[in-house]
Amino acid sequence: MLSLMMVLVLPSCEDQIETTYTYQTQVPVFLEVNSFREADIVIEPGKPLDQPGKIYIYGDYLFISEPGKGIHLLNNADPASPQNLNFINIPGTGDMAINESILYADNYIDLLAFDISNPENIQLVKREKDVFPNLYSNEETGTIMTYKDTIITSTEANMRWNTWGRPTFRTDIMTFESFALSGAKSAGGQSYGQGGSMARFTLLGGHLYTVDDNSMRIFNVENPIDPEYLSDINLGWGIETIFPFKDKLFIGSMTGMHIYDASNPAKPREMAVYAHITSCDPVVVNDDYAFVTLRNAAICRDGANELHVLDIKDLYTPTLIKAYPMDNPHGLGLSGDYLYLAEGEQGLKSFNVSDVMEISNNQIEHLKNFVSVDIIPGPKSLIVIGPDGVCQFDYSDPEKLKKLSCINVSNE
Amino acid sequence: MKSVLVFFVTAIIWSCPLVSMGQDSPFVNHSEIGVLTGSDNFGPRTNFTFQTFNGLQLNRRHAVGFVTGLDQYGDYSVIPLALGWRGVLNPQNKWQVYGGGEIGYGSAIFEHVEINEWDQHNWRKGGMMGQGTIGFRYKDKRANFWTVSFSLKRQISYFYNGNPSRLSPDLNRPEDWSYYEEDKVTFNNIVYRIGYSF
Repeated sequence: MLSLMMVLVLPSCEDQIETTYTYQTQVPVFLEVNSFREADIVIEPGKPLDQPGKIYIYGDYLFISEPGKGIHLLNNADPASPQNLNFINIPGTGDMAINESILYADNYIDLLAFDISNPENIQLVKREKDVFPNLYSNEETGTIMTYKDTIITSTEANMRWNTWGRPTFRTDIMTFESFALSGAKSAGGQSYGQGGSMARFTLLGGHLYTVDDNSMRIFNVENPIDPEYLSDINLGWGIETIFPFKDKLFIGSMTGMHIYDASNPAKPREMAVYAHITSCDPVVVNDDYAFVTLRNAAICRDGANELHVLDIKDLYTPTLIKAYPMDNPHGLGLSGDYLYLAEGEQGLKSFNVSDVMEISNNQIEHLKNFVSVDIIPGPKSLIVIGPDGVCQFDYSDPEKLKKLSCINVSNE
Repeated sequence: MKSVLVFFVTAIIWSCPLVSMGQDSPFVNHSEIGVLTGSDNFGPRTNFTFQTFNGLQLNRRHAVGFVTGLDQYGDYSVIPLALGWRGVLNPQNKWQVYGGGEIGYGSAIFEHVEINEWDQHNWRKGGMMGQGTIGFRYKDKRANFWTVSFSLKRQISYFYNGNPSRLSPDLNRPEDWSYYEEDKVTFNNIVYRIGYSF
């Protein structure tokens, strides 16, 4: 009996702790540009979604980007049963845009144009080289630096999170944040710096605008298969989202919302900046009002969780008319008088915004049990994007959403 | 904390000496209250423990049964769930020497996830538990016993700390976390208890 007890405890009368630290981060890797320029673009049968980025609706088809890896193509003729058709492998891609029947996507430093007039037989028609040169680590030798997801496990005491002298990982800069740098139209994925140019793309007036961390690049795509790079404009820091409306560009950043006049699309002119406390802010706009969500997350620093309504009848002086407290608002979608708000882990809310002074009193539905980050009101369905997948709702009755289907992210 | 308290009070009432019967039935209950002592890297440690053994008397000497209770290590509550044994050396005397052993699992079922303002998550899970006991017991008028015991108890627990890399992270999926720390903590205790058995 006594010997049993000895064996149990006596080896050490002090409590013992064995710790294992696991980091998921990105390590820099160097690539030669020729390695992907000379390789064929591989189109393979549909793969499960992993970290969905932006979604583009093109006729009956859905294009869903997988930042860093490529683009999923789905047949959405029946939103209750979307068919996962193909996966277009585009390493180092951050975003995409579709102009008539041409799909633009970035491939590290290059801009690619694909003909998608027959979506089941996509062809690469143009590669515009060296358009996003900030990835180059050495332009002369054609070496770019990108990042690769890596898992690092250690039991060393100096690998603890808050230990001085621990090696710093790339994710430390992006961490403390459930959704680093995510914005309205490009959320769902966790790591935007995963290769790719971190660009957000949008099209307006025959021009393609790509926005990365701090500048906007402008391309003339009046001839869709031959994008022509024009210029770039420095916008400051922490640029997140870009939303085109009529001939204006609304650009959301961590410090505010910039409004640009793109009536001359080759030379957008800044009209105004609506500055706010540092937060992450997607924006949607109609004729009179801009709806901006502010979200508190550590990387957005001391932000509030709010919905701001701005009067933009005079675009040179956007004015805050009301701010509504919200749970944890991410992206939003506007359809007529109805605003759909993605509240992160708190689900999805719908509001009637015909009276902008009474939005919180006109909340219609609050669907919980679904983590939502962004919303796109499409022609056939309301598409809600979250880290668990992409769901579609019938919103023919905008006050009563009916779930049609969900494409779940694979759990491997 | 509230659910822990409810569980604890129920267990105490159930094992209260006033509820006891005589020695005729094969059913045995042995309930004890005591102190867990040990040391960790902050210094000596003193914690509260309560334990109740419910089982069957197999013969004059031995009983086996199921053990549960509560161990309170600071703000960490562990509910032990174990198989136990009691064996008496000299059942014929008034003052008896006995031994006991338990092996099982210490559950952290009442613990929940704490999230701080940086979205760091902290949570705890239980683990294996083993204990060996030597004690004295005194037979009273009703043929029930007052007991004093000394034990060595080892309890393993897992403490986790993580920074999520997505919304709604799954606590068991490492790919949902950009930082995931697992501390396997082994509590080595010397335990002193007094109790009652019937």
